[in-house]
Amino acid sequence: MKKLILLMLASLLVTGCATQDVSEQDKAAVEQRDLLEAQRKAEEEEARRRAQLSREQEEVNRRLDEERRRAAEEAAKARSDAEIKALQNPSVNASSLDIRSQLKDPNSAVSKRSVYYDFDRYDIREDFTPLVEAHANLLLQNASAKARIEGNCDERGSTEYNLALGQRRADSVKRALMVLGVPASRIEAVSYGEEKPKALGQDEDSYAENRRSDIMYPGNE
Amino acid sequence: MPIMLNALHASAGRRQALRSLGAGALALAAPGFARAALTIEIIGGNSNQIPITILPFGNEERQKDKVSEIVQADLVRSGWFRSHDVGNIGKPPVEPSDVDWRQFGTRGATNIVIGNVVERSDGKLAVRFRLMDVSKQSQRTGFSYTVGVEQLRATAHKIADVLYEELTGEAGVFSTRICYVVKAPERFELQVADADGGNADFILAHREPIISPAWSPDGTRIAYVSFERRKPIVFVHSLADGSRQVLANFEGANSSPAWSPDGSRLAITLTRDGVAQIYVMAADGSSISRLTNSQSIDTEAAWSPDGRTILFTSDRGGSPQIYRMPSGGGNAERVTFEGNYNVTPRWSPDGRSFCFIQRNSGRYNVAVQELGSREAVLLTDGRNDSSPTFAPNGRMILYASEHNKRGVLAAVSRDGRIKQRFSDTGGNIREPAWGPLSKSR
Repeated sequence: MKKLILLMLASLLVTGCATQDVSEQDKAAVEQRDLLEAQRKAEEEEARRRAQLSREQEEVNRRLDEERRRAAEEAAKARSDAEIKALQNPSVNASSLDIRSQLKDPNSAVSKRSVYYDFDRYDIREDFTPLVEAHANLLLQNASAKARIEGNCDERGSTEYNLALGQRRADSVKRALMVLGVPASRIEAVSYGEEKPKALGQDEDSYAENRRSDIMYPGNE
Repeated sequence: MPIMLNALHASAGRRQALRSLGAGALALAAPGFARAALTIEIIGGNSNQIPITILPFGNEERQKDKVSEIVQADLVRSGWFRSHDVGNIGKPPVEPSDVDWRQFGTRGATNIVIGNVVERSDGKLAVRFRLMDVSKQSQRTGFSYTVGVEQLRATAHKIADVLYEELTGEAGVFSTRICYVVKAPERFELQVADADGGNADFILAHREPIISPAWSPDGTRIAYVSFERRKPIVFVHSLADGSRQVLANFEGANSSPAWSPDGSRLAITLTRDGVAQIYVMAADGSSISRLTNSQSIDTEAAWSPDGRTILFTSDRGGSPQIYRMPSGGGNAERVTFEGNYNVTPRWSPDGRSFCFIQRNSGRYNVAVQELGSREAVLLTDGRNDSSPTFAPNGRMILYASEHNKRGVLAAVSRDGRIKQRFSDTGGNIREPAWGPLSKSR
C-alpha cells in the first residue's frame, strides 16, 4: 500500500512537471510570435515611412545613417576583435534585410529595377534618372551591398553587335551610379545581348521590353 | 586510320590516283545523345541543272544506309543537279561491261552512276562507283573505298563530292560539317552535324547562352562564347577529345572570336578597356594586342582568306556599318553605304566578296557585295535573318532565319537562285558556322 501511494505521488509529480513545461513552452512561443509580429510591423512601418519620404529627406537620413555608422565604427575600434565581430554580424544582417524589404516594397522607388532604351540607343532617358538616383541612394546607404547591371537587347539584327550594345547599356547605368557617388568596385556591368529576352513576342511592345538594363543585387534578391 | 581510295580510272590525268580520307575526323567526341534530325527542303532552284542518273548500287540494300540514295539526295539538294529518271530498266548495271549504252541513250540519260557495296571477309565494306558518260560510252571517273559499316554515310558524301567536282568544276561540300546552337527552354546546345544536317550531336550543353561558334581553319577546334559563368567568355574547344580552354576572360564582355587563316591567332572583341574593341590573341592565349582604338563599338572581326585584311562592324559613323582595315591594325575604311544597319561581315573563300546582314524597311536580310563595289545585292527576304556563313566552296551561304516563329537554318546560293531550308524536330536553331573542307580530300 505504501508502495502504491509513493507511486501515485511520483506520477502526480511527473504530471505536474509536464503540465508546467507545456505552459512555459506556450508562453515562450507566444512571446516569440509577438516579437516577430512586432519586428514585422516595425519593418513594414519603416518601409512605408521610407517610401513616403522625399529624396531630400532620404539624403538627410543617409547622412544621419552614415554618421551613426561612423560613430559605431569608431566605438567598435576601441573594442576587442571578438567584440567587433559580435557587433558587425547583426548590423550586416539588418542592412541586407533592409535592402530586401526596400526592393520588394512596391511603394519604394527601388522596387523598379529596369531602365528602358530606344532602338539602337544606350543613353539613359530622362524619365529613368529618378530610378537610377534611387538605386544610387540604396547603394550609398548600404555600404556592403553590390549591384550587378545586366544589359539586354531586342532579338533583331546581329548577335554580336547586340552583345556590344547591351554592354554599353549596362555601362551607361554603371556610369550614372558612379557619378552619383557609388564606387565602381561595387558595380558589375554585364551584357546578355539578345540572348535572354524577357518578352517573347515578335512585336514592337516585346522588343521595347527587351531593350533594357536590369539593376540586380546579388545576395539580396 | 586512313582509308585508301583507289582510282579505277583517273580521268584526263586531272585527278590524283590515290586519295585518303581521314576517318578519325568523322568521329565526334561528344557522348551519344538524341539527335536532331535536320532535313533540307529546296525552296527555289537553279534553272540550269545538270541531269544525273544514279542507279541503285549492287547489294546496297543489305546496309542500313543506302549509298545511291544518299549520293542522289546530296546532289539534288545542292540545287545544281536534277535526277534524270530512266524508268524500269530491269537489273541495274554494276560493272561497265553490264551497261547497255543504247538503252540509256534512248531514255535520255547523259550521266549515269553505277556501283556496288561488297561485304569483305574482314567485316569491312568495299564501296565502288563509276560515273559513266553515255554519249561517249566511257567512264569519266571512278573510285573504290574500303570502309567500316559506320562510315558508309560519310563515304556516300565523299562520292557526292567527287561527282560534284567532276561535273561542276568546283569542290563539293557534302563531307564538310556545320555547327550551330540549339536553344530550348532552359537549355543551350552547341551541335556539330554533317553539312546535310545528318549525324548531329552536341559538344556542349548548359542552361546559359552560347553564341558565335567559329571553326578553326583546320576543322579540329571550335571557338565560341559561353555565358556559363554568367558573363560572356571565349572558349576554344577541341573536337577530338572534347577538351577546352578559356581563351579570353577579361573584365566585361569577351566575344566574337575569329580565326586567322593560318589558325595561329584569333581576333576577339573585349570591353575591358571601355566600349567593345577588337583585339588579337595568340590561339594558345599567350599574347594579346589591341587592334582598334575608337570610342565606338568595334566588333565582328573577319579575316580575309589571305590574312591581310580584316572586315568588322563599327558604329563610329553613327550607325553600325562594315569597315575594312589592315589585319595589323591601322586606318579603317568604310565599305557599306546603303541603309543605316549593315553588320556581320563574312568573307567569301576566294576573298573577292563578302556577305553580311543588311536592314531594309525593318527586315534583316543576307546581302552580298563585291569588294571595291559599293553595291549590295540582297539575297534573302526573311523577317530576321542573321549569322551568314559561306560554304567553303563559296557557292552557298548558310544563315539563321525564322519559320513558323521558330529559329531555323536556311541557305541561299551566292547568286540567290537556290534557296534551302533546314527543318528539325524542336528548338530554336541559331548561330550557324560552316566548317572548312576536310584536308584529306
